[in-house]
Amino acid sequence: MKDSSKSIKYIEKEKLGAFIAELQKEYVVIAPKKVKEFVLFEIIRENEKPVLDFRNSRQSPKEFFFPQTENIVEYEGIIDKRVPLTRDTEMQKRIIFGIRPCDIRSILILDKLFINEDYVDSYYKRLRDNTLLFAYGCNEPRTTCFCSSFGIGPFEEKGTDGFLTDLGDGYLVEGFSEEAKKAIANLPDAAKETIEKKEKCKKLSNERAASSVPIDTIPEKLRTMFEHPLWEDITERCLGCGVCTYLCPTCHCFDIQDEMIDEKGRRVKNWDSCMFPIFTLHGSGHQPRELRYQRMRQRIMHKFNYYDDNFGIIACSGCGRCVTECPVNIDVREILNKIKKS
Amino acid sequence: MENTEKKIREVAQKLLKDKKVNLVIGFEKGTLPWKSRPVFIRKHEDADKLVWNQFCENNLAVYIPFYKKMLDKGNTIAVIAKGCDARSLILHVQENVAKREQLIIIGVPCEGMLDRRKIEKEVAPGEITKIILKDDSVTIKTEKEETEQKQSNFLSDDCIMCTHRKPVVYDELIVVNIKEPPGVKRETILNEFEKKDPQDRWKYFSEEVSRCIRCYACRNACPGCYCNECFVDCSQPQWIGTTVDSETDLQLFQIIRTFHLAGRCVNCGSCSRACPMDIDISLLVSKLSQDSKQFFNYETGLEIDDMPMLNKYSEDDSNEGFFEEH
Amino acid sequence: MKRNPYIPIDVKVDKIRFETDDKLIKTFDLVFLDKKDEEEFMYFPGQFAELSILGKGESPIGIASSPTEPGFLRFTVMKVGVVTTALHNFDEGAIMGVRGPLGNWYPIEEMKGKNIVIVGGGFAFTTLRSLLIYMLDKKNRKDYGDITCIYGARSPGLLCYRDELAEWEKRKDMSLYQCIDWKFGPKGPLEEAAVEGWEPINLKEPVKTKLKPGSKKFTAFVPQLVSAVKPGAKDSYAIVCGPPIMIKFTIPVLTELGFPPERIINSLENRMKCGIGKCGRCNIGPKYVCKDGPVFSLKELEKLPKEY
Repeated sequence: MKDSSKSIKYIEKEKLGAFIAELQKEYVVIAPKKVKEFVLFEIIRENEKPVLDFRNSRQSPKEFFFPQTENIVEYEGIIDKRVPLTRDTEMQKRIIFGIRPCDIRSILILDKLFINEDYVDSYYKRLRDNTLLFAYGCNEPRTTCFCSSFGIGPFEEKGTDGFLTDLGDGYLVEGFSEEAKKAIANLPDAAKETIEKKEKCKKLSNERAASSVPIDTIPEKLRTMFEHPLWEDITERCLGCGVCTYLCPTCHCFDIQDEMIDEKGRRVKNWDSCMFPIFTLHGSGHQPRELRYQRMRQRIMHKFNYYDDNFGIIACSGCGRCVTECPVNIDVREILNKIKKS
Repeated sequence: MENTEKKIREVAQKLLKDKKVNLVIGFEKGTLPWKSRPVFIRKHEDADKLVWNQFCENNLAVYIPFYKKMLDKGNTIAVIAKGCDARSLILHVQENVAKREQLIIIGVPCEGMLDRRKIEKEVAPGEITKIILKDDSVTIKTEKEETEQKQSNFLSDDCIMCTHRKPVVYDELIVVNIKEPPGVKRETILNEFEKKDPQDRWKYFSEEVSRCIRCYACRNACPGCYCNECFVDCSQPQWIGTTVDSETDLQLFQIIRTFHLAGRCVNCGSCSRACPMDIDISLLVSKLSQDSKQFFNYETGLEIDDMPMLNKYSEDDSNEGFFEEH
Repeated sequence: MKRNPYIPIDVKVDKIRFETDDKLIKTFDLVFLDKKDEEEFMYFPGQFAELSILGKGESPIGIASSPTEPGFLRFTVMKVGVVTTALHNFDEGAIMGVRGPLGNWYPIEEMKGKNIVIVGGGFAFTTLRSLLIYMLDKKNRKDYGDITCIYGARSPGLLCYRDELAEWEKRKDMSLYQCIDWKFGPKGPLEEAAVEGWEPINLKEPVKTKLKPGSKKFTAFVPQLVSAVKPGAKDSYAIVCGPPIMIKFTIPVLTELGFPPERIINSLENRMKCGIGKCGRCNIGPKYVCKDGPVFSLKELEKLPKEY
């Protein structure tokens, strides 16, 4: 418990606002906010308090690294004389506060795609390099959470700069990276009993998060399942919308589009979804994935086989968003169990 | 409710056994406490999977266009249909998606579906572990507590405004007595909204729509949205921008989609329910239905021999609200 | 620091010409505005680039020029979509962008010392031209054995690079066989020559055709011509590039001739956007056509799902 490599602080709940204000002097603070009846990660404005009594946010904070719409080139002038305008790459440091461990894992999964030896996505990297991640332990995981299937617990620390635990009256705030330690340096040190209290929370929650899908053999199993009746079977009720992919913290497919308004133009990356037929439609009219089940197969295969093949990790963190929000209750846990059994 | 379920299973089983239909589309128990989900039954012995309760919220007519090829070959599909599902099926017949004789409408009078967001709100941030429906009560269990309430507290907004609980056109009707829930007239709700001045109305609409993530769940959950190529997907010419940071494009998407549903919307609420960002889409389409009723005395999917509203012209058609000068 | 892979490199459209009689295909020679960019743009036959027109979009196109002909990049482009239409409307002198070189290339090292059979159809001949020019280059020719090229199009006017075809026809260090599609009657292809001078191949059993010495131009579908030419499989590689239907019928012919799957090389197409293996749309199984391809051996393709 006496770990000199990290700093352990404590903050009472009512002082959270002041602490956020302190952070805002140096950082753009991104934290959960209530939108209608649900929670989303947004930039916290001055004097605004984050909402921390939530299970998980409707969307993950993925968009702060991989925005749904992101300018990649800006330009102007007449069509046959245009060249890219140079852009300012300076940005203010950001801190994401209250991100759940599953969403942290998802960012680590995305890192492998966007920052690798083949090519580096400089837009993603810039946002990633300038952002501290303060995770928030899950005292009460959702019934649809299955993060433990992927070796992530509700208190997983891997990939975080700091960690926040709700202890009832206040939060235990841990700093792991040098910068995180600096950011919380002004908070009072945590007492021994509060640290013990966190351990208790952690233990309790780990037991609660026992819901899990056995995924160990899935990637290997899928290798031989490309032609399998299962795909048509699980797809029949699918509406072909983008809810699963757009709420998924690891889905990363995008489109590149140009847009002009008067003489000013921009080229953007937009999220795209393998569930949309237009995603793979060739200019010639040829369509490699004509049927719904082929697109469903691509989604599942990509996450649980192809990604594992290419990067050695499954592209799912068990956050359960696709499970709760699918309009027709296509449940990926059920699909995984079916794959396992077939 | 159990009785209804039993009758549905019997009818489905018989249709399949007698080879009157190739497929029955109904509902089965879902994996979440607040959800019954679409199921596709092809063998009579599977008819026992069918369930009926107040979580059978999807409009099942949405699947009919997916089976176009199967229908073209002359196959027949039975659909377990609430009032709204049946009206959408009639729309499909009117628009030549299917022939009337190819659709067996198993009508089920509907007491209105429960809105899971309302239930979630009631227990938040608690997590629903189980829901028990009995008579007109609902018991919601979370990890820590249990609460029993009247079902009517959680009725979905569109079901509250429902005008046709009993299917109007059907082949088989599951005869059950339903209690009429406390209906509120669409006009009442809309009039309330229309009392606001235009800026406030626009503010509400644009704030709602600003959350759109363009997942197109509203479109895909809608039985009326089955164009081969949706205008948002068309690239030559491109009608609408592709980003989410342009407010105009998000507004345009919802407005155009709504107009495409003029005289075609049955107000089933599927669009709003499917929306992962809780955008109040129903409000917009509701207004459209009210106008159809007011100006053309037209309600979608009530008469099989009728034409869709915008396909017919009558000299008596109202010009009101058409080209209004301001 | 490495270049941002999403930002196009500035180039000028130096020369434009119609490639085919239907005027749907044009060839563009592009030159770099900055000499340094040209030095950095190191490419090999088989690679492609994203042609970028700001305000319109990008289109992935195989590089038709060869690294042995420095000073320009050549692209042969059919007018199909928004970007290619805009490109066709350009005049010489226009400024545009190029992102690349992208993808892998034909196994030019591995093929050294081997005979090469090039099989191409229609306007997919572009990267095959690059390969051919590369191998025929004075410095490289000795590295390869016999070079046979079989190339077909629907009609004579739809063959690309006709000036060069005429030159290659005369060369002693390679054999070029060209073909055009059969003329069709009400019951299918007619057994006669489609155009005078384009000798018909035995329609039903092309393999029984005895090629007259010196004949180089035929009426046949590409797979039939391959059957008739019977290129030897021993120590040979076959490089096949063309429309899917041509590839589908050519591969069994090559297999019949004894080409093993690892020595049948294909270049694939798929809908692409980023070109760098990120955007997730061009995958066939775990492989991305843009990054792991577009060049795959038949052996590699046999391991992938048939989803292209």
